[in-house]
Amino acid sequence: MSIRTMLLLTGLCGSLMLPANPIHTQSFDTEQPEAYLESVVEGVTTVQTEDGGMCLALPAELRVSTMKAMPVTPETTYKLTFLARTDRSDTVESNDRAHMEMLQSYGRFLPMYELLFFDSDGEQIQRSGRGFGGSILTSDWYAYSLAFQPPPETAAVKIRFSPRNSPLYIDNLEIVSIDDGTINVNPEFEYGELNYSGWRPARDGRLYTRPDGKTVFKSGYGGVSPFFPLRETVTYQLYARGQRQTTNGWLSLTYYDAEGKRLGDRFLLRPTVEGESVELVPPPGTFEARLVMYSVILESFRVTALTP
Amino acid sequence: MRNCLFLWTLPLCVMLAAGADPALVAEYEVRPLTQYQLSFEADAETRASWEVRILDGDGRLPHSGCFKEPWQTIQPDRQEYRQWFYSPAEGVKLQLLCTSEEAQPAFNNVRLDEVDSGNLVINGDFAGGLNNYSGWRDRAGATLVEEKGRTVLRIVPGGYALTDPIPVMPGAVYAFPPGALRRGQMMVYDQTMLRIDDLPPYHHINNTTFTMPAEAAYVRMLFFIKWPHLESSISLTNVGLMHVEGEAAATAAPSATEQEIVLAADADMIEERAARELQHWLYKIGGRKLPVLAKPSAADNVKLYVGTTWAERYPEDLDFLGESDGYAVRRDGKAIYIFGTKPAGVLFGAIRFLEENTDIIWARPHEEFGTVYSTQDGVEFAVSDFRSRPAFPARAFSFPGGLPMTDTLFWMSRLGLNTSVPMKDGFNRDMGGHTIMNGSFFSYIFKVHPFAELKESHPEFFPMIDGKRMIKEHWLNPCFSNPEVVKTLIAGLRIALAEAPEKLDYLSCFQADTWRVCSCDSCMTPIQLPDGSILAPKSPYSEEDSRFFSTRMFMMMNEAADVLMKEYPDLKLVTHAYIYSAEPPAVAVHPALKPQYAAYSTRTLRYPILDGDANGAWGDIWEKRYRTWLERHEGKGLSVFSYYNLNGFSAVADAAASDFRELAKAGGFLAHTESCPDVEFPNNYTGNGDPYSYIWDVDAMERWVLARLMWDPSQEPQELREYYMQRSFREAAEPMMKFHALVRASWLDPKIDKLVNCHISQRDLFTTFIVEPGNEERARTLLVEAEKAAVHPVSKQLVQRILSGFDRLSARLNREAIPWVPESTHDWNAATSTHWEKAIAFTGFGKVDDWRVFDRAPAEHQTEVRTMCDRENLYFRIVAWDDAVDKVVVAPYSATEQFPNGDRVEIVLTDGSKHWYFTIGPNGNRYDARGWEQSWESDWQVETTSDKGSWTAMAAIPMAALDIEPGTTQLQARFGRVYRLRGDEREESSLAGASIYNRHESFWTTLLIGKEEQ
Repeated sequence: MSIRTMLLLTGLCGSLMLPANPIHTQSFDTEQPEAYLESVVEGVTTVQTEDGGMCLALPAELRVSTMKAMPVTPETTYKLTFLARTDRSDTVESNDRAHMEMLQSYGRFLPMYELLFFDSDGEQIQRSGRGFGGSILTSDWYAYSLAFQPPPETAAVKIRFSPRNSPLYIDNLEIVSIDDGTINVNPEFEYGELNYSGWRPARDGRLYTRPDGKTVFKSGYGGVSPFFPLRETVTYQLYARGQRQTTNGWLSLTYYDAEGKRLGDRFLLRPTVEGESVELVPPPGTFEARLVMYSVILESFRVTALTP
Repeated sequence: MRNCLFLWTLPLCVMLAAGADPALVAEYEVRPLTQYQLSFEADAETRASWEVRILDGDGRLPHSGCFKEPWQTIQPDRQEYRQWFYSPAEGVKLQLLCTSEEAQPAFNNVRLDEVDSGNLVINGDFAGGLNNYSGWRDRAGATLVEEKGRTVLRIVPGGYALTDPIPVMPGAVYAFPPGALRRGQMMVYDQTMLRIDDLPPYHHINNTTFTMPAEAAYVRMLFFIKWPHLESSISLTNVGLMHVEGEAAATAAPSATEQEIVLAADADMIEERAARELQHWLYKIGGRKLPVLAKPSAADNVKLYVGTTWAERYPEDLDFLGESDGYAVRRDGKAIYIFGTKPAGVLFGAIRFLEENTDIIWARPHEEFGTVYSTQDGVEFAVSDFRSRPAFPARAFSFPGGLPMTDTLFWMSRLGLNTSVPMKDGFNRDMGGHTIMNGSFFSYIFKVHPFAELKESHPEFFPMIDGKRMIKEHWLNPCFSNPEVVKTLIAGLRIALAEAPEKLDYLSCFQADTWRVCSCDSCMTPIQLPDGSILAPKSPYSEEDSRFFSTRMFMMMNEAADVLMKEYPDLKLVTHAYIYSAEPPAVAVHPALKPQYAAYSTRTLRYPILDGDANGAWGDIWEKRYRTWLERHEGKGLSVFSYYNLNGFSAVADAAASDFRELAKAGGFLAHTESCPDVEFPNNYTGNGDPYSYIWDVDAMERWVLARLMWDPSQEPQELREYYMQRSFREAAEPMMKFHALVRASWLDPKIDKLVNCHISQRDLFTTFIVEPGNEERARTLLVEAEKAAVHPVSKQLVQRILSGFDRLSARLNREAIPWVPESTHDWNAATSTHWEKAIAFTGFGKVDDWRVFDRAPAEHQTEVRTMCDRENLYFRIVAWDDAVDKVVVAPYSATEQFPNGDRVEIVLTDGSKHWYFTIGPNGNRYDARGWEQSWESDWQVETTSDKGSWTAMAAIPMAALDIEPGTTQLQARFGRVYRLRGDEREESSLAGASIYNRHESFWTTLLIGKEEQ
C-alpha cells in the first residue's frame, strides 16, 4: 500500500476529532483547473496519480497559484487539509535537517501554501505574522493540515500555493469546521510534526513526533503559540501538560487588544507531565492572546471558557 | 569538684564599710585558663552587687579578668551565691569585690573551687538556676526560665546567646558530650581573643569528634533560631563541649609593657572587637602583644584608650560625630583615644588607626591571601589625630543566602560597612553590623493572619490578577487599596517591632519581586491627588502604568508610616523603589520611609545614572527617575539599591562614585550594592559552578573601592585604586596600574557601544573590554610582569589569582588554536597518521534534547574531533565510536553530493555573519551548504574509514571557500553527531551538549587559525 493510499484510507490525517461536515472539498479528479483556480497559466495541469486518480500539478517556474475564494465565517475554527508532495531534492525523507532549516529560514526558499482572507467587499484582510500557512517539505504524499480561525470581518478565504522552483502536486483538499472544545487551535499537536498551525518555536525548538506516535512541541527559548480569542468578561481555564527542559521552564501569556496592541504579560504556569491549569479573567480591552514559552516540551495546551 | 587551690584567703567573714566604691572581700591565687566556681553566702539588708577581678602578675587588670554583670546582685531575701568562670591567660590573683550604696552585706563561707567536670562550657546545664548567667555574658532575647522543673535558657526569634570564651588547644580533638545540644555555631578566637573563623555547622551535627583548627585559642558557641518562621523559641538545656585528646601547648606571647590597650570592663562587644583587632594586628605586624586592660596601668607608656567611655574630653568631636558610626582618634601626650558615639564607630576608628600607622590593607576577604602587611619591630603611632564620619548611615553589600560568610563579614567591618546579615548566614553583632528586620508586605501581614488562615478568612487581601484573586504564599503583593490590608500590615509591623529582641537600626518592608499588582475595582479607581487632580489608571498592569501602581503602593506605605511614627518616633522604614515603584509616585512619600531606588536592570553600569543619554535604547528614564527621587526626597533619607557586582574586569566604581555623590548631596540613608562572599563555595546562582572567590579574583579592587566610596563618595575612585594597588601589590603595583589603565580606557571608551548591567556574562565583559579592543595580549603581558615583580607572598598570590582569573576568562571564550601541521597536506586522509596527534582534539560530547530531556548528559556514543591546518585547508578528523558499526544507518552512497540521512557527523562554521554547514556519513556521503544555499560548493574532500568499534570521517575544507586567510582570522565552530536516525535509538549529541541550531554564544568554540612557523 502506498503512503498516499494509506493517507486516503485514514481520512487524510487520522484526526482524533469528531467527524465534521466539509464546507469545501476538491478532489481534482473531475474538474479542470479553471474551475477552482483563479487563473491558469501554462504548465498548470492535472496529472494522474499512482492510484489512478488525478491531482493538481504546478510547474516549478510558477510563482503562485491561487484557488478561488471559499466562504468562511469569522471566529470559527476550521481545518484545511490536503495531500501534497514536491519534486525538490531536499525533503524530510532525504534530509532530516530540512525540517530545522525550514524553521530557521522561515520557509522562504521552500514550496509553500498560505491562506488569504477577504472581507465581504473582496478586500484582502492583512493579518501578517499569524502563521496562516506552511511549507511543503515532502517528496512523498503527506497530509498537510492547518487549523485556523478567520479574522474578524472575513467573508472568504483563498488558498495560495508557491512551488518555489520545484514541481508541486496537490490533491484531496478540504476545509471542515471543527469543534474540539478548545478555544485555541491545534491544542494536542495531533496533525503531525510538519503541521504547526501557527505554533512557532524559537532557536532549536520544533515539533517532534515521538516513537509512540504522539507529537509534541519543543518551544525553544521564546517560542510562541498561535493567537487565540479571549474576552474580558469571561473566565477561562488554561491547561498545559508537558516537560520542562530546565527547572525554570515556563509559560507566559501576552494579551492584545482588537488593534493588535500588546496590553501586558503575565506568568502563566510551569508545565508538568501531570498537567497544570490556571483560571483567569482577561483584562479590559483584551481581544486575543498568545503564549510565549521558555524551554518547555508541550504535549497539550488547551484554553476553555468556564463562563459564557 | 575538687577543693579549691587557694593559697591564702581573707577571713571567711568580713564586714565592709558602706560606699559606692567596690570593696575587697577576698583574694585568691589562681592558675591561668582554669575553670572555677566562686561561692559565698551573703546577708544583705539592701541590694548590693559583686564583681570578680583577676589580675595579672604585674597587678594589672586584664579586660578578660573582669566579671561584672547586671545579674551579679545580692538580694536581702537570698543567702547563697555561685559564679563560674575561666581565669584569663595572664591571671594569677582573683579579687572578689562588693559594691553597695548603703550597708555592705556580710560575706560568709567564701570559697573558690577549681572545677573539673569534663564539660568545658561554663554553666552549660544552667544548674545555677534562674538569674545566674555565669558563662553567658553576651546575649539578646535570651532569658533563663523554668521549664518542666528545670532551668533552661530560652531564646526568641532574632535573639541569640553566646557562651563565654572557652580555652582550647589548637590541633587537639574535642567532642560534644552525649546528650549535649549540637545545634550551635562555633566561633574560633586566637590568642589575642580576636574571632578569626567559624567552624561549619556540620561539625556540630555530623561529627562526634572534631579537631580544633590551628591558631585556635578559644571558642564560643552561638545559639539562635535559624528558621524563625518554624520555631517561636528554642530552649537550651544541656550545652557541652569536652576535650578528647591532644595536648598542644598554647604559646601565649609575652605581654608588652611599652604600650597597652585600655578597654572599659563594661565595654560593648563591638568595642571589645576594636581592642582585639588592635591587639591582633599590632602583634602580627610589630611582634608585641599589647595587653588589653580594663584599667590603665601605672606604667609611663603609650596607652590606647579604646571606647566611648574615654571620649568625654572631646565634646567637639562627639558633637561632630553625632548619631553616626564615625570615629575620632586624638592624642594627648602618650595617651591616644580611639572613640565614636556608637560602638561601631570605635571599631571603624581602630581599623583606620591601624591602616594609618602601618602599611596594612585588607585587599579582599579571603582568609588565606586577603591581607597584606609588613612585619617590623614594634609599631609607632605617628598618625593619631584625625576623625571621619560616613556620608550614609547605612552602608551595605548584600549576598546570596546560605553561604559561609565569616571572612567576608570580617572584611566588611574592616572596610567600614555596617551590613546587616541574617544570623543564619553569619554573626556580626560584634562587628558593627546593623540590626534590622526584613520582610515583604505579606510577611508582616502573615504575622497577624498566617497564610493558611488568611486565604480562608480574607481572600480579598490577595491581588486580583486578570479578574481572579491569586492566592499564593510567596512572591505576591497584597491589594494596596483595601483599608483592612493597611491596618493588618500595620498590626504586623507592630508585632515585628515588639518581638525584636534588640533595638532595630531600621525595619525593611518591601514589595514582592514581581510586576504583578492587584487590579481589583478598588485599586483601579482613579486616585484624587492632594492638588485636586485625578490620577487615572491606564492599564491593570504595572508594566504599562508604573506611576499609578507606584502611587498606590506608596499611599499604603505612607499610611503605615504615619501610624507607626506616632508610636516609634525613631523608626526608619526602608522600602523599595523598584520595578514599578522605581517610578516616583504622584504623592509625596512620608519622611520616615527610606525608599531604595533600584535602577534595575536596563541602566548601564559604565556611566552614572544621571548620565542618562548613555542608557541606549531606554533613554534617560533612569536619570529622570533618580533626579526626581533625589529632589523630592532630599533630606529624608533616599537610599539606593545597586548592582555593581560584576563578574569580570571593569572600572564600575567610577559610575558608583557619581551615583553615591548625588545620593550624599540629597542626604541619603543607605548606599548598597549586591555582592557575593569570598569563599571557595560553588556559585550555583549563575550555574557555572565556579567558587565565588573567582569573582573576587578579578573584581576585588572594585569592591574595595566601592566600600570606601560608601563611607566617603567624595573620594576619587582612581586615587583609591592607586592606593589599593600600592598597598596590595607593592613592587608589582606599576604593571598592575598599567593593566587596570587598559581595562578602564576600554570601559570608559564611548566608541564601545555596550550596555553593561548586572546580568552581563563573563564572556561578554571580557570580550567587549579586553579582547575586542585588542588589549588581551598586552594585558596578559602586564599581569605576567606583575607576577614576576611581586615580592610579598600575599601580593604575589593576589596577582597570581588575577592572572589565573584572566586566563580562565580567556579560556572560557572556547578559543582553541588550530595547529599548523605542514604534513597535514599529504597525511590528512590517513586516519591513523601520527600527524593527527599534533591536531587539537575536542571530546566530551553531550546529549541534545529532542522530544526527550537529557540535561546535557554525556552522550552514550562518544565522538572525538581533531583539527589542524596548512596553508590551504582546514582538516578535520572525527571519530564516531559505535559498538555496532555494521548497524549504522546510511543513505545509498552517491559519488556526488548526497545528504547522509542517517548516522553522521556535522560541522558548523561561522565568521559571525556567514554560516557553513558540513556533514559526512559513514559511507562517505557528504553534504555542504552556505547559509540556506544548498547549491553552494566548497570543493571539499572527504574520506571515511571504519573499524571495529568506530567509524571515522576526514575532511579537507579549503579556506579559500570560507574567504579566510591563514593566520589572520578566527572562526566559530560547532560539532555535532547523529547516531541512528529514528526512534528511541536515535541519539543526537554535540560538543556543547546543545543543538547545533541553538546559536547562543556560549555554545560555540572559537578556532584560531594556526600560523605558519617562520
